[in-house]
Amino acid sequence: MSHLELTGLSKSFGTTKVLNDVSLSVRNGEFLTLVGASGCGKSTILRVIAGLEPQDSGTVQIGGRGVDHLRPKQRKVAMVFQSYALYPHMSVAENMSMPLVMQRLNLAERLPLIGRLSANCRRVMTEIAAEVDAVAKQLQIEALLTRKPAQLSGGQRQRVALGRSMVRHPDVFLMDEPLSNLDAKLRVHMRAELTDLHRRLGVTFIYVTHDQVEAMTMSDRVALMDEGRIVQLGTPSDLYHNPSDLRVARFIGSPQINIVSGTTTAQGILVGEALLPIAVSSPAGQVVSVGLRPEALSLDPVAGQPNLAARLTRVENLGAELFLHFVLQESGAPLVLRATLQDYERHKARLNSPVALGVECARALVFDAAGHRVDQASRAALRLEVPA
Amino acid sequence: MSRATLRTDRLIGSAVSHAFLLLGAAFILLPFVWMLLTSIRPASEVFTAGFNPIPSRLAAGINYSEALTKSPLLQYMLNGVFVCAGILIIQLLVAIPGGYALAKLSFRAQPVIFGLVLFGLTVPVQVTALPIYIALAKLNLLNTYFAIMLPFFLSVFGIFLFRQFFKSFPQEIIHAARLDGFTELEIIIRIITPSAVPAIAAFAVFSITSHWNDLYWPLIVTTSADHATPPLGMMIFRDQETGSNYGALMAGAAIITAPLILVFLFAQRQFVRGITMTGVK
Amino acid sequence: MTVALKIGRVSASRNAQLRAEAAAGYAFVTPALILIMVLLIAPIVVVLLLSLTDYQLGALEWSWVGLANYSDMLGDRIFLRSLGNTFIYVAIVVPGSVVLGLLVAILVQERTKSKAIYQTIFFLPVTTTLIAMSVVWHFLLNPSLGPITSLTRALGLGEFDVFGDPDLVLVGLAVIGIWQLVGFNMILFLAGLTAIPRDLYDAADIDGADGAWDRFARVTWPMLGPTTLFVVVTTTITAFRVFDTVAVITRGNPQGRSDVLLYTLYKVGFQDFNMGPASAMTIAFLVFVLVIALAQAFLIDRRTHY
Repeated sequence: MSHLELTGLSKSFGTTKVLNDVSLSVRNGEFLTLVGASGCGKSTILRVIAGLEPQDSGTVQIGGRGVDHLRPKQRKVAMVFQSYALYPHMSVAENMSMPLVMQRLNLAERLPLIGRLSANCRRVMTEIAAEVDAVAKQLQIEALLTRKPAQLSGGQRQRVALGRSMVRHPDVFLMDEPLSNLDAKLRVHMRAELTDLHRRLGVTFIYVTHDQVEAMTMSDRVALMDEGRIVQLGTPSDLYHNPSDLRVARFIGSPQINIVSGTTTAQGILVGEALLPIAVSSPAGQVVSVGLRPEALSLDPVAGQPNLAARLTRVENLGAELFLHFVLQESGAPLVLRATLQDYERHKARLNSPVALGVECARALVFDAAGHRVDQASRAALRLEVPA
Repeated sequence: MSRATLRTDRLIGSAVSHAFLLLGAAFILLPFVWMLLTSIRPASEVFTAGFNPIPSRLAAGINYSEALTKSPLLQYMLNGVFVCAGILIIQLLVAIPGGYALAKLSFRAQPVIFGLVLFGLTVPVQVTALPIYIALAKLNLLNTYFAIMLPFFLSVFGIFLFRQFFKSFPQEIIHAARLDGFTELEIIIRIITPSAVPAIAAFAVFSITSHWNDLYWPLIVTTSADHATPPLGMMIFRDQETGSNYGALMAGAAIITAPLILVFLFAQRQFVRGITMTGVK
Repeated sequence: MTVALKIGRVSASRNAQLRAEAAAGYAFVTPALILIMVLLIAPIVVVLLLSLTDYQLGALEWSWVGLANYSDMLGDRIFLRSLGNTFIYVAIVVPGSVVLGLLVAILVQERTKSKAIYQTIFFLPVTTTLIAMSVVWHFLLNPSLGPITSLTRALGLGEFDVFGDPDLVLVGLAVIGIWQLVGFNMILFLAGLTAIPRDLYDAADIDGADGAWDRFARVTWPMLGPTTLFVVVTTTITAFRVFDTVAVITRGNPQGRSDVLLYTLYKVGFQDFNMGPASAMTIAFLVFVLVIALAQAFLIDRRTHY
């Protein structure tokens, strides 16, 4: 079957290294997302896998077979592009049948008009039309088959692009930010539809996005990239709860993780006057960043729980929950806290003056100056996911 | 300033601008109007008419039939059609693939070739006329359609234009096509060319008008009426007439200028876009 | 897996798509490249070489003469006169057609209902066969039976033999040149004008620059800078290549006062077949054109840097 193996991929444009020794192993049927800021190299990986751009070094294997010597069309991969890349002058049906036409007809039969003279060509075209119809039904676009791309809405174009990649039954689907041109509502809907499609087809998906929500909600595993390297590879839950690097902690999660700076001591980490009893591998006296997810803070600290004095500056009401924005009394560093409506109502009166925010130290993430994770709690968890 | 004076100011401004434009338009239209008037005027009146615009009786039939019978005008026009079509077809066959290669394919010689194209843009046809003429003379090819068309088979401007046009064609569509299994030639035929119809139309207008109207090169390589293009035919016609029959001469001029003017009037926007592309040169 | 094996595969992979692309690239530019070599580069080289010989078409013998053709050319009265005439022609046509083109464009731009019709009229000469229209102009200005003469006579201004008068002939040709170019320049200026954001005029209005002249001087003219440069350069090159009107109407007469560069080149090269001197003139012509092109490139460069 079709697991995908990237080994030591590197690529430079001039002096910029867009890919820096990237290795990645994707299981058959897995939904793997490459996520990162623009320019981190994620789209380049897709184009290297597809064979549209050559790598400088490293290899790509699909289904245990090296494909580096193969042209794009021979690699049995399909790609959905950010702009959908539909052929503007062809109808939806023609767009969707193109990959099959190219596969099943020889050069002579593909000639306009003349090709139609061959009986084989006519037979194959009928077959193709039937297959295109079937896929169009699955995607509920059978009513659009005679339209041109310009007559379609963004969501419809998206489906046509999907359909074009589905008709050829590829071993691997490559998707390059396919939802980024859709409006917010449709994007949420298409997220569900894509995950559903993945489950039905059972084929490997490699999905590129800059949107961490898409990465978190759709994928089996996520690879977070920065400056041409994979910073962390893991399940969405790993990346959220157990980031190995400050960049991952910052990128994943909304609202963004709170970062307060502290100093290591023998007893724990000193943040202002508060001592957080967290064991770290760094020596004492080092400046570290303490990452606190908005849900690791609470409005009513239990007895003996370390707490930080802060002042409320702003309330964001999302309906079911609220984001409370504070600043630390001592350093002025901003903090966001996630609270339920009941919690907020209960403490509302108190919030006019500075309060003590409870810190759940077991959930605190500590990073050294280089951004590496240094709290002991994470060690075991992180070690687990290093592939054998 | 009161409202009334503002209004009068604007009225005066508008009147002045209209007056100027009308005067300009009269200057522009004068030769066209006079050409048409003279072409329907009886021969006897041409010399005595002076500035009197209205012919006393119509002689259009005589003048136009004389223009068509006394000189092979239709032959000239046919030659023009043939030459323009031949030139345009070759230019497109060369420039579309060339432009695509320079815009979307990477190969080592690409920058050098593009440099040659840019250099070629600055070289007028008169510069290469002498050697090409000598070569055609040595090969005994003067006085042929081929000789009239040869220098224009190469349109560096066409290559440049299509290169610029294709440069802005989405790379993702070409990637999609390669993944779908298109060969590069099929990408040109089935994807790039259909998308380039507006550019092809504009270039066709540009190419056809410049070669329909060209005098310099046909004057050099043809001496016979058999292959003469309309402008050269016009010159031959004028020399035959030596000023004796202005009615027929003007009728001839009207016939020769008519096709392009009609195309211009019916497809103005495309036409203007095609012609103004010369500006890019 | 060994490192060496990997590297071998990689180089193969570099080649798969790239090699296909390069092969297609070379295949697609080959026709163009052949034509560039045969119809552009080779002829230029041959002209350069010919300009160093005394070759005459049909002659059996020829010899190298070094730079003699060039020194002869610089001393040749006819060449110098045609060069001078060409410059005078350019000096009339360029300002005339650029200023009129700009004026017409600004006035036409402000019209609403009649805009399209004026545009069509002014563009008409651009589309027409100049040869045919030259014949018409020749007739219009005919000193004995042309309508314009009748008009001037009736107005008591006397007769003008425009194309027979040594002092008027270039002006007459230039009027036809302007007649043909105004519409073209108008269209280019109109494109430049529509590209000026309306906001700028509104801002100028609010800042008090609301008269027609102020609007022109403060907004239109500065914003049209690049367009104007472009129009001047294209018009200069077009005017420099004047040939058709001369060939049809004056043939260099009277007294050689309408001999222009390309017409002289045509006579020497293709009527007298003196290939050596004609080649030297061709090179001179090419140099002028390249200088104009370089000046344009330089000026555009400068403009983008201020």
